[in-house]
Amino acid sequence: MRNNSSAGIYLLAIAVMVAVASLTITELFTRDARTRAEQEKIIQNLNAVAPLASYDNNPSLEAQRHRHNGKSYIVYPFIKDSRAAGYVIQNETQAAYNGLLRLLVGVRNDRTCSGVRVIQHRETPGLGDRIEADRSTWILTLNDLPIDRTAWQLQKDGGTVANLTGATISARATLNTAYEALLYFAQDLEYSNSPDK
Amino acid sequence: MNREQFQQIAIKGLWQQNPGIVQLLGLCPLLAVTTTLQNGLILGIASLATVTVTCLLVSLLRGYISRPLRLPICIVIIAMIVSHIDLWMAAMLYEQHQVLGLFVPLIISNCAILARAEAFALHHPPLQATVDGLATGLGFTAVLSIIGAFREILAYGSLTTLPETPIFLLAVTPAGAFFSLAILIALSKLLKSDHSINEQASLATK
Repeated sequence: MRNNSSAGIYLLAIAVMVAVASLTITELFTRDARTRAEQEKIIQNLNAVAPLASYDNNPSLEAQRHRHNGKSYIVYPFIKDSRAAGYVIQNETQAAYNGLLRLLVGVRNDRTCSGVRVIQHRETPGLGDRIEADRSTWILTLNDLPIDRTAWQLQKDGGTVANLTGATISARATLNTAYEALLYFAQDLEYSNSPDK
Repeated sequence: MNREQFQQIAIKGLWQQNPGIVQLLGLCPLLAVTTTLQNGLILGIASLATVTVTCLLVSLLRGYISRPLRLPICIVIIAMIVSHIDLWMAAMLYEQHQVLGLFVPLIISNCAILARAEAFALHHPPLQATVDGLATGLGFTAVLSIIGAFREILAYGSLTTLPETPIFLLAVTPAGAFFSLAILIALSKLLKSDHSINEQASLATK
């Protein structure tokens, strides 16, 4: 019996190794298709939060990674008549209920938000996933909000945004992450991206 | 394996010991994702593939799996298969994966699959084990699809067009899932009640 179970340990070790090896191969094999699908989702959502209806460039191809206060943002510029007429900023947080929460935040040059969309999350199905535009209209209430701290707080935190029952942490993380992107715009991007740069 | 054996295994998995409506295993995905026919069907097929391949692999390895380590080995095999399915779904069925993505990894913890691997595949040759996995998986898929279709029709009035807001909200809420399952179980009991005494007697002798 003792021999038997030590042989079993080898089988377990081999099983784990086979699992790791085969998953690595599948991961490599499907990586292109998965990135392409994710990219398509970003492009769709870029249109949904675009700061202006018509523009002259292809923002998804001109995305740039910027660092500000130790955080990294991806910035999609929207160009109209060779001037930046607004941006979509991609920001993310680990402070949501579960795992990574990634957002696209549109901001117009008049310092209002043109919309927020969740492009990746692991929130609880049926509760936290109501931050998605497909599940609830909650995220649409963030359209046109100004860059102002209380405008980006839940009612239960003293702000004006409707609470999301059963998903306070998801909603709060969404608001904070979106506001962080807007602050980055107001503190840095707005000044540093003048047309001559 | 003769024909009678084959039939017996198939009927048990599909009907007599259906994981969804008789054993009541794997209720988390069963109740949570069955808001539409499509969701139920896709998760059902993913579970079907998982349980079939798991049963086959466990059965092939059954001579080498020692008793104390049977559960860890089964779980490693199930986790490996589900992770493969998860990756392929993200690549090929991105939109559906967005909807079901959170539930696909949960297939690992569906005890219906572990139950088939441990209670059946570990003691039977590969062909029987595969048929058992297929039958159990198909039985589970059928229940997921029926509940999904039932709730979709109740909530939206049709299977083809999804209006913005449900007409009958209760059907898509978690409570609606419990009611739908209860109705399905009641119907299956009704169908069975004719020969239930014979069946129980024959099960008891086995």
